Amino acid sequence: MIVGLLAMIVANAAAILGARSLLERVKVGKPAVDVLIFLLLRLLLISGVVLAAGAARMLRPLPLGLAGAAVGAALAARGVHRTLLPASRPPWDRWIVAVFAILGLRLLIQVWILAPYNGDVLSYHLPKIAEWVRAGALTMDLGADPRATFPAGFELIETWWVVFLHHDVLIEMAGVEFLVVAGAAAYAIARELDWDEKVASISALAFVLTPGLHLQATSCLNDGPVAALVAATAALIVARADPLLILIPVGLGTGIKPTYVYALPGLAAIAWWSRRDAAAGPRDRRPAATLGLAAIAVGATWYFRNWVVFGNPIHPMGSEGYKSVSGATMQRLGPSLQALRENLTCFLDIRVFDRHQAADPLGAGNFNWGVAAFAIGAPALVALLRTEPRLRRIALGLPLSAMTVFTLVELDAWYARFVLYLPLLTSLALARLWTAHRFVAVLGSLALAMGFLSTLQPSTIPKADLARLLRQDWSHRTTHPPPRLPEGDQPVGCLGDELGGSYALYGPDYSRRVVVLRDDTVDGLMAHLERERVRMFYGTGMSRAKQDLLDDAIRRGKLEPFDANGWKGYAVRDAH
Amino acid sequence: MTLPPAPPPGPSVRREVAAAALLLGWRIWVLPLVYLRYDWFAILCAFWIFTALGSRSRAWPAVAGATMSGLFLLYAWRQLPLTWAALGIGP
Repeated sequence: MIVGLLAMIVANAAAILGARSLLERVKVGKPAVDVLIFLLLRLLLISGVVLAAGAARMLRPLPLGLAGAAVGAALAARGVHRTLLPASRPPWDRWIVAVFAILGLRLLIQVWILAPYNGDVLSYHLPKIAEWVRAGALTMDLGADPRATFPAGFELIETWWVVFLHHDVLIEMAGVEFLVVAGAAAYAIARELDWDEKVASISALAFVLTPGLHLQATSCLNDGPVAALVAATAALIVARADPLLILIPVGLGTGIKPTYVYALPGLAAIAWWSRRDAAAGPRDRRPAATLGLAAIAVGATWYFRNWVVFGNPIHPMGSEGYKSVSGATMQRLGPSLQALRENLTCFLDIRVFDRHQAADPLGAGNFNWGVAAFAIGAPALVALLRTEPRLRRIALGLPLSAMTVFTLVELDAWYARFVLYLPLLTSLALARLWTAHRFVAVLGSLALAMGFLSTLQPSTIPKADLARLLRQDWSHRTTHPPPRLPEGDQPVGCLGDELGGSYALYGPDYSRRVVVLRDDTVDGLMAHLERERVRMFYGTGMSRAKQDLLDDAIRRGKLEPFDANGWKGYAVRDAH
Repeated sequence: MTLPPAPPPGPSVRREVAAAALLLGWRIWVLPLVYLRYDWFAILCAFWIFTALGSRSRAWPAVAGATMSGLFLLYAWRQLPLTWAALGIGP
């Protein structure tokens, strides 16, 4: 663990120095925009390193730490570390600095206390990370859920935060990195609109305190990162950064989730409306071209892999979208005016009011944009759009992005999380009027205080589970541990089709080998169990056919079922 | 900080009022009247019409403050109890 901790510190320092060194070649000369580009470069570097190390089977603390030490030493020798801090402190109000410090500290505590808890995360986002970290390489087996083959750009950053410690205690740091990007993007846009530092910092504060966005940061879900990258893309467009630089958030976003791609028409519209504004750097376009193309390559990796392996770049989505094992359409493919009408109606009639439950990262039934956006930011935006033509472009572009998303996704309980970038507009407007009218500052303070309260904990974690997390030793912290596990280092099996929380089987330190069972017959299953020396397995998210298969095996005396804490387990009776 | 001055009344104001009235008309068309006074979008449309016509008036800050306070109450009325319950505060 000590070696891993040292390697993590060294590698992170090298990533920071590397991003700073790259920024020197592509900076546009606007401090707020350059900070945003720096953050994006760091994410691009980390993504590239994890991909390369995974492909070279060197996804382990020691090689990464040694490489980080070598690169970091070389960059430090060139004096890059001396350029890290700005020459002068930004003239932010003390209370804003204090609130950001409290938020940062609270986020670190949340990262430390929380363990992955969301069903989708446990079922198909994180099992692949467990496989990668255990193997020290990018593996072909990604878990039982077919959605494990969705793009995994966010999982690359999560892998970075678990590979060194071989433990998931810091996995939520990946989401926090993107929340910082979101805040930096709001700040940069406000500065590009020629608003002062106070307005810019309140814009950033209001945006990162958006309940849905904030809770996404520590949930291991990837919609918050997508919203952050949409905001970052908008910021670079408004700043008239070189289009080659804009490819960086485009590549990263595309590699995280196709909903980012769905938002591109609105971003393209902002670019079109801004085309006559003065262009920003960099002067030398070659480094920007290299980095932009690298980002596109990183983002395209998953689509290329799926095309090679499955013959379909968007596997498991087919021409009819994605269907569950029961045949229900989980997600659509292609545009639909009916989807637009349903999603828009539901959004305006129901979701915007946030009245179905307290804030949570998935936003079931809600939009989770908070009272600051609903009550203060939205009327402020109405007033400002009349006098701020450059804000008007963003305020037309982002809703256009939301419309394309609504046209391309199925109406369900959770779709509003795909447009979590919309509160960027209300955050900007709230901040702008905050400094102009005292009543906005008073109401805005109350609203942000409510945002702070509602992001203390996600409502989807039951109080009993949260209390258990707090009682657990950090090294064993997990939300839904299986009731029994095989002795020693014997593997545990996992049989299921979708939506099973198989991630918990690996353990928070990824110490348990998990064998995914995809067998269709009792004899095949028993032979597989024998071959892999599996004496116990769990059924997670099973179809009727899988359940029938297990019932048959139990009737034939080959398996002994057990049931506890919501887990369905099976012990092998005649093995070994 | 002072905001840039609002544009003088003219064709653009009439266009704004027409657009906001059209959107408000759509909400009146699709929503039962009993829900309309609580409808976030309809309230914003009405506020837009007032802002287009009276952004230079001395009443604008009062109306803006009242609109924001009203929306605050509308939101908090349903969401605050849920937040308290999630945090384990209250009955």
